[in-house]
Amino acid sequence: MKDDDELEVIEKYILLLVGIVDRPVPSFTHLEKEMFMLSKCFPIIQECFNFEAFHYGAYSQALQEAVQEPFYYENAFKIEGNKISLSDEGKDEFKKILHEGQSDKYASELLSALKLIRELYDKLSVNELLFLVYNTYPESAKFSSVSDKYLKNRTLRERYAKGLLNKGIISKDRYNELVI
Amino acid sequence: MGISQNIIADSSFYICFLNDIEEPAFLNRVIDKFDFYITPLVESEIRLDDYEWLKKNEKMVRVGDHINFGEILKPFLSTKAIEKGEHEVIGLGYHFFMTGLPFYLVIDDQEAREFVKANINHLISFLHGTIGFIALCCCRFEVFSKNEAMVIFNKIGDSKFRISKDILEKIKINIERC
Repeated sequence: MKDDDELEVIEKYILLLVGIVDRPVPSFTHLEKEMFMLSKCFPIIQECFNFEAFHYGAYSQALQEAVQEPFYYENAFKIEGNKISLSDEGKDEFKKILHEGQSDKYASELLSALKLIRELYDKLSVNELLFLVYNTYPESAKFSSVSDKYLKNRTLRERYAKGLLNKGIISKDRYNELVI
Repeated sequence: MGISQNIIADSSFYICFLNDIEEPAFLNRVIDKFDFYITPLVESEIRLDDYEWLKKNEKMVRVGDHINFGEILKPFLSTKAIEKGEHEVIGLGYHFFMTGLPFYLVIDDQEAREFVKANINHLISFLHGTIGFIALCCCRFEVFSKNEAMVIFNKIGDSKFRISKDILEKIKINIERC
């Protein structure tokens, strides 16, 4: 259970991740993994979200709850199908958070990290995303019910790695590591 | 010339001067002219602790590991590139780009360069290799005279620094003309 202050911080981080580019986050899996990557970059964020190994790898219960039933930013998120974006109210809140936080230590670093994450990870399919995250952080796949598909099935590994190579997202060297 | 430029370089830039051509004084002169931002893995790759004079140079900014932009890039690059800290260098370059700070991104590693070109193309105009950056140091920033730049390039040609003879000859011609 998160205390109120922490809950507000969590909702703010999600608002920032969703609002930093003007397009929806492609899926809940993307939202989870993109926030997981942010926590790798900013260890302080890990403390808020408590990412734990789960059925679909690194998973934060707090994050899921905060998007589906936000407490502080009640009408901020728009969920259409699997895509998550900000409502008009959410966009206003996003601007307010940016304005209030501009003097925060590491504010610019946080925004750069969020933008880079969205720029790189949004263009991955869910399979490519899980494939890369599981293989880079195998400890996050410990309790995953789907990880075999990404870690053990040679045919599928080759398929995902080939797709990433063809898109120019990974190099030949990385491809060779991923298909072993 | 009142320049305020920031440089983010991968390990091969430092290693070129320190080990390949063994000209630390030239490296010191370049560093004195700019602000050099060095990431933790690049520090360890070049064995910064062995070079007290380099560590003490106030123009060397050690970025530390409280924020690691490189983590974001880790899934996309090979272990070899990660061990050299290429992901940290690209990540920091992206942050400089986002904040509008003037900078040069000096990367020689082929995999890292290709990743930038294919995936973060707004960094391309900031991207240089060690050889190209040395040419800039001569022709634009006047850190080296033409004679000194030629000495450096000749030494690089005879060293284990990986560069094709063709590119090196082209750069030498450009230096003569600048």
